[in-house]
Amino acid sequence: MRAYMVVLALITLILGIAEIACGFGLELSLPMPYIPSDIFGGFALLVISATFSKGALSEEPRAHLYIGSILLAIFGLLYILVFLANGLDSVILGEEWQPLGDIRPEMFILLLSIPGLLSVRKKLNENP
Amino acid sequence: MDFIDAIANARYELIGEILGKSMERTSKPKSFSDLVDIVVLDKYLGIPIFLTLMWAVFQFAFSVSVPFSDVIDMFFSFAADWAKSSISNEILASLIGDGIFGGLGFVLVFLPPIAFVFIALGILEDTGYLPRAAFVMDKAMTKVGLHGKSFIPMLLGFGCNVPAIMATRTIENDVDRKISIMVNPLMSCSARLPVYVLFAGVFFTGYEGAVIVSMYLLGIILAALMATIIRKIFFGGKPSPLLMEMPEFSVPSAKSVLNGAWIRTQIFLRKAATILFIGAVVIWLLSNFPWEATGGGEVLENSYAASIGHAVEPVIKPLGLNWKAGVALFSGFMAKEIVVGTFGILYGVNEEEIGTAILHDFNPVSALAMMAITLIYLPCLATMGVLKRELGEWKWVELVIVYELLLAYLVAAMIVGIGRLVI
Amino acid sequence: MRKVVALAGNPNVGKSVIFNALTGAKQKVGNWPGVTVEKKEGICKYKGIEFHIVDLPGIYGFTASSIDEKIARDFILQKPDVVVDIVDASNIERNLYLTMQLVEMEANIVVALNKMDLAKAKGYKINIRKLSKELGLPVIPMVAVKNEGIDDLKEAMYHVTKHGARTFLRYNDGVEEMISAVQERVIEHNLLPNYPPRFVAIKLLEGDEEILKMANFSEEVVKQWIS
Repeated sequence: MRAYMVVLALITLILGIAEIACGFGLELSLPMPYIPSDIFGGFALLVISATFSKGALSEEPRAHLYIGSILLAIFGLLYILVFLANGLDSVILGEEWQPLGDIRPEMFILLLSIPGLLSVRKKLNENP
Repeated sequence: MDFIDAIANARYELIGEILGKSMERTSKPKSFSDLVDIVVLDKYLGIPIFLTLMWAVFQFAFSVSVPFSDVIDMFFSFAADWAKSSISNEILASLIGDGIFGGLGFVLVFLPPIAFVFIALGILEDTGYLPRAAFVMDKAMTKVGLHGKSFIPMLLGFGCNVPAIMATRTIENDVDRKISIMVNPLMSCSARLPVYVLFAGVFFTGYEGAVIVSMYLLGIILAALMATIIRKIFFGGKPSPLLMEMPEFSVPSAKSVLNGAWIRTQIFLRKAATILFIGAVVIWLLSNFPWEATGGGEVLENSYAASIGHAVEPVIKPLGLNWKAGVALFSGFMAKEIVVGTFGILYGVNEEEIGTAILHDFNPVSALAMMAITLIYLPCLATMGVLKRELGEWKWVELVIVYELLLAYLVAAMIVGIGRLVI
Repeated sequence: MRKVVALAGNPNVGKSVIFNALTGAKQKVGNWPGVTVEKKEGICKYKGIEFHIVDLPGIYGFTASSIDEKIARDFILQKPDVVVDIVDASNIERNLYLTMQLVEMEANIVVALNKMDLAKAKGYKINIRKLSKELGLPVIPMVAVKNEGIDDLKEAMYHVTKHGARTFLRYNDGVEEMISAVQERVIEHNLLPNYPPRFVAIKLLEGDEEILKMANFSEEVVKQWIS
């Protein structure tokens, strides 16, 4: 569990920094596609990273896994909704839409939150 | 020692020895809520997590609601055009087309974001997270002279300040309560949102989200500042300690969330149907009359509205704002939702063109100043009514009005000043 | 063969549940002689023995001043074959206080350690074997409401009727000195020979009215014995 959390911490850290950097206008030639320029979004990723890293080092990693995964899932889901809303909007307005422009990493790392979410479900079912 | 005591002690002493050798006390296995609280209430992670969740709430509210707003937008545009082309009487056509459909359209376009905010907050509420947020913010809030329980009213203020101020009734201490009430109007209510969306959209394209959030943050910071100042000057002392019950975390139920959001949205709709309706008509009247002078609303400079705007202009000119902004702000006194609609009527344009229209009269700096003023300058009529009711004496209400006007001017002046240095 | 079993314990430890589990429908309710306190009795047949189960009132001690406590004490001093001491595992310290006193009365004791589920929920980990060894008594873990441990309890009752279960628990030196001093006098004067001398000694030292009266000594005299 801790190892998994460290991996997630690193991924979100890198993505977070990347998004903030893009937000400030820095051009990045990284082997990473679809990084939006989003300072606050990047900050959110850094918070998630902090949650996972603190959890990996703390006495109660489970708790941090739950929260980190939930946050990851919230944002992944959120950006998928935004993506769909943009698509719907261009249909309504009769405008052209570049779907690829709206894709962002959080949609993919959403999958990484699944193990954590399964743990949450297990824990919720366990109690009287 | 009394033998009775001696033997009682001896018995327990022996029990202790026996259990020491045969029993282990591990801490109670933690429930899901206990585990979540370890992270969510953490000294360092607590506030960042809270801010992150707030960011998610706003992203959800503003980005995902866009298609719905556009649908409403299109509907009212068609309706306005239809009215103007089908009604023979010119004045009536203008009243119904521009005044009613146009004005209402501008307002109802913001119904989706408001509804989405209520949904998102409803989810947070249903999971049981909000008391944790209040707890996490309590230390920070106490530092600026606010009671931990004012957290929820402040949060509600982001929807509408009227129910928010009424929610302060949960604060027992009178001084804590008064201070919470007096700074609540600085929490940017949903009615001010249209102004931010318009100006941020036009002058800060691509960064709207960040700019709008900054407005909200500004409101929060100013609320904290004013709470400290008001407390120092008028009351002294510190906020009383926070005692709150934390419910168990649970999975939110779609039914109760949607129900709650619907009820709160209804309040907004009812306001739209009454005050805003009246407001839209009033503004239409002021900007289209005297009818001949304005040529049926074409020549805005000759209307009553313009006279009011010109009267106010000298005050706001140093901030880069002209008489049109003056009229819009004046209309905002009645209800903040009308401000954008007023701009529409003043420029004689509909929703699509308003963006280009304001480009003529504003620049990024004055746009920021406009947003800041809208944030700060005056509570709307409905809020003033509640302020009087909850604060009791007029003197406190007057204090709010005076400090808000002064603060608004001060902040706008600072923005303009900094703007001049940077650009 | 008929054996008498007393159910003792603090209030709310699950005595009624265990009583019902042991006796089933074969119960009888009456009063303790001379008082208005309810007396529940029942029969439990196991391995050829007819256990006559008597449910004592829930008590915290055995002083003479409370009717409930006096009833329980008198019954136990009549030497039933087994005393089942029902202990609430989730409140174990407090409950063992009564156990200490039962040991002073030199009864044949089976400790029924009930509510093990609640103890676990509280995070307690009780090593039954070690506890049994430290107490010198059989300890039967149970969750009476779920019917867990009832059969083991019956087996323990059966075993004790055959082999007895008495233990001696020694307190600290200071207290033991005083008890020894009085105990010598009790034996010397042959006071209350039907009662265990250690029990009599402790009760005299505690100033128990009834025991003092029966022994026909006053508190001051007892105090002199230990000086």
